[in-house]
Amino acid sequence: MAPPATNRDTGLRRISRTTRWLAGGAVALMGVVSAVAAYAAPGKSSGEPTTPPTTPPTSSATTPSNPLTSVPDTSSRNGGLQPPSQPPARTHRSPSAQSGGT
Amino acid sequence: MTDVDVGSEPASATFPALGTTVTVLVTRGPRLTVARQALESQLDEIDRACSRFRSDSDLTRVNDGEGCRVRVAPLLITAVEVALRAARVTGGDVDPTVGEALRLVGYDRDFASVAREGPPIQLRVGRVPGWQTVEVDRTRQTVRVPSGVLLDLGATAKALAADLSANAVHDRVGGGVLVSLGGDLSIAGPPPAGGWCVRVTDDHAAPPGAPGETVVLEAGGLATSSTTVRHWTRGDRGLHHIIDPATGCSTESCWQTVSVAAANCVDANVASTAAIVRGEAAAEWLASLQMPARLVRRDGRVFHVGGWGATERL
Repeated sequence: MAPPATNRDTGLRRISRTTRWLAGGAVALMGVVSAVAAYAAPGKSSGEPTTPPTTPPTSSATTPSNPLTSVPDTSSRNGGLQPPSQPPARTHRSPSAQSGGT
Repeated sequence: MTDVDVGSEPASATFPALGTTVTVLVTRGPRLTVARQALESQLDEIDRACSRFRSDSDLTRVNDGEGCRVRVAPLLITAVEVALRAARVTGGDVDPTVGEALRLVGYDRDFASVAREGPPIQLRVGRVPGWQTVEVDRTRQTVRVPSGVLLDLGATAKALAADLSANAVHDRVGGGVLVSLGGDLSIAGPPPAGGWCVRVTDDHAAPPGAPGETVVLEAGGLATSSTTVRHWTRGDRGLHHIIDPATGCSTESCWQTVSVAAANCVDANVASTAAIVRGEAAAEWLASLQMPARLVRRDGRVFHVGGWGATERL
């Protein structure tokens, strides 16, 4: 039977090894998650310098005021592109607007 | 069933802006002047944020940023996010990093100043840098592109402008509103009785007798992409403004014009632009998305998908 001091040292080494494995695993997992997040959502910040704006972005009119000032939900059906509530219907009436190449 | 606005006679105003023809229709006719003011204000804001040809625009500062993060107005953040979403949902067929490719094919200034004919140019074939190279930080209000990468938001910014403008005008004057920026059209509020009648053609400025068809819309957006209007030649080569991100050159599509209806003008524009780039595969792709579309081949034959024109309204 090993003396108590030896048992304690063995236990401490096991705990130390487990802690190192856990720390290493956490770092690796964090890397994977970060890579996935960076790929899925471009817009990461970098440590590079920011050029100052020549004109401050102060216009209150650019404050989001309706749903389209934020990016539409890309997780919705049809890959994010939303069809209309009703398709265009044919008519023989006079048009009031025109859509074409520009 | 959509509610309709029967308050008064619709009224309209047409004027030039953003390098195209702008039309606003309102069901509350007496409020037309206020509607036009709201629209002009919104368009001016879009132009200051997103123009590739204004030296003082936020987009120009980003493109000239030499790889640095550039602080910009919230509107450009939104416009770039919309462009990146367009790239994501089309698998990169609609990519905002085509700015340098557009410059190389000769679209390097406001289109009104681009010579319609000129000597041959050396085209450089190669994939554009790619939307994944663009960094947007909404918290810090910055956009960054690598040095040498030029963004062009033409494919989506005009459609975004139509959607934002229609909503802005509706907020100001109430009632039903239709805003048309060239081929890009957005509806807000209740339509007039019978809906909005819209003529769909190759060219938004085509005369009344030009080939096309008239449809009724009640909500959402409609966009038309075409290779026939913003078109020029260098040597014997025809060029236009819709760039295939895979080649960096003007697309050589089997479709000359594609019109798409969607829940909003941005989605309609993304689908119509991507359809031109995708060529033969576009009809099936649009049908799978249930996006009503009208596709015109280069020989003039017309195809409908997604229920476009399946019903008739008197």
